[in-house]
Amino acid sequence: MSELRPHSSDRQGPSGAGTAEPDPLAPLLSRVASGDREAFRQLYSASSAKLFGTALRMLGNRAESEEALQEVFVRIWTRAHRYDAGRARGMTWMIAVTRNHCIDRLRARPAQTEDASALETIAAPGLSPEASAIASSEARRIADCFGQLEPDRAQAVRGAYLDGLSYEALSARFAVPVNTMRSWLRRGLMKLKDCLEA
Amino acid sequence: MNGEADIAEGDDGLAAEYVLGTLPRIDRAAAAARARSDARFAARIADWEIRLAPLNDGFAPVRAPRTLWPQIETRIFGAPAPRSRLGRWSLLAGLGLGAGLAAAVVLTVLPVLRPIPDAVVAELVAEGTDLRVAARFEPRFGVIHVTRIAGPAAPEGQDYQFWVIAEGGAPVPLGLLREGELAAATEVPPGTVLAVSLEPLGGSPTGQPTGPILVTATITGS
Repeated sequence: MSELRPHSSDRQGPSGAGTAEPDPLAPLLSRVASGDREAFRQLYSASSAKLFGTALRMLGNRAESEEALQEVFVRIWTRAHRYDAGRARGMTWMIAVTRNHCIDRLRARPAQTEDASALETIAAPGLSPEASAIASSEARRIADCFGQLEPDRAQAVRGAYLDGLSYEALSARFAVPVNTMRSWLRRGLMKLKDCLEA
Repeated sequence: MNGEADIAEGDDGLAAEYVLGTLPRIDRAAAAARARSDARFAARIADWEIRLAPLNDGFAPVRAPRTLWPQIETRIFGAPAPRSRLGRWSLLAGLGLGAGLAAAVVLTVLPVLRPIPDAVVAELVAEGTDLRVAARFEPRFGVIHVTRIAGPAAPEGQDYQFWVIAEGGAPVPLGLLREGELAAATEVPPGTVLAVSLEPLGGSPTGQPTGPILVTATITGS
């Protein structure tokens, strides 16, 4: 149950091929797409810790994260044929499947409990632990681009992406109206995109 | 609204918000439905997933509990992969054990699975021997059943051992072929070679064939 790679190198350009660094999960996913059960077991060994960590951080609840991870691997088994190795790294695709499922669960929760765990997990403004751990050049690039956003907007983007916070939870946290928060995030994301593609 | 806001409008902003996860439940469901029928919108979502992927560094790996994998296997396949060298009857007993639960879970999962191909049947033969071995692989369970259908039993003090050799891979021992049927979990994609070798009683001590390969078959097609 080991990580095959630090996730920091897990990136390709949105426009396609990107780095030539080998992706050990891509061939496993293509074997899984053809119904290869042994490849599926290997894929689980190589990725379950990262995906479980993803679910834990987003859901903040161990029992629900275990349920979520089961569902995520059922989806990976049934949807592996949709994975395009020319477009994204295997881990990027699998984390997207995991985040999507976790966000669906979060949005289905009653509004009251939605942000219960969120307040402590948003770091104070400044460099978050993950930003300081970022290693690859792509990750450094996005960190640089984050640096160009106003600090509270960068924190809001991270809070949404990593902790699954809703507009309501973010607007409460940053004490701004929901519409303002939505506009912050949209503009922040577009600024990030421009910076990354510059 | 000023010009800066206008730039952030439109499909790309919606795709970004979908990936970020901030859309309210109903808007999120609508965006997901659109992505299923609108390839350009789906591509925008995929681009944002890649663009924001460096943030994934923020998810620290946590070892999942050991019980999780068998539960996933049960949900998808109906039963966890049995250890090799299980006889058919102990395999069936194992399946029976959790039958109620497994059946209930499988019913809800099956409709989303891809169609499962029919059983793969092979006969292992060779020149110069009467030994013939039949193998039947059931994709539904990922289990192969192997039986000696002709020729002598293994000489006293020796065993027939059954191997699966993936294309370009090393032989993997799946059990001893004695009276009755051998059942073992495996996969047999096209190009896989099935083989039976003659080994010391109890099977090869090294994990690789040590005696002569007596009969083989190669899986063709799909």
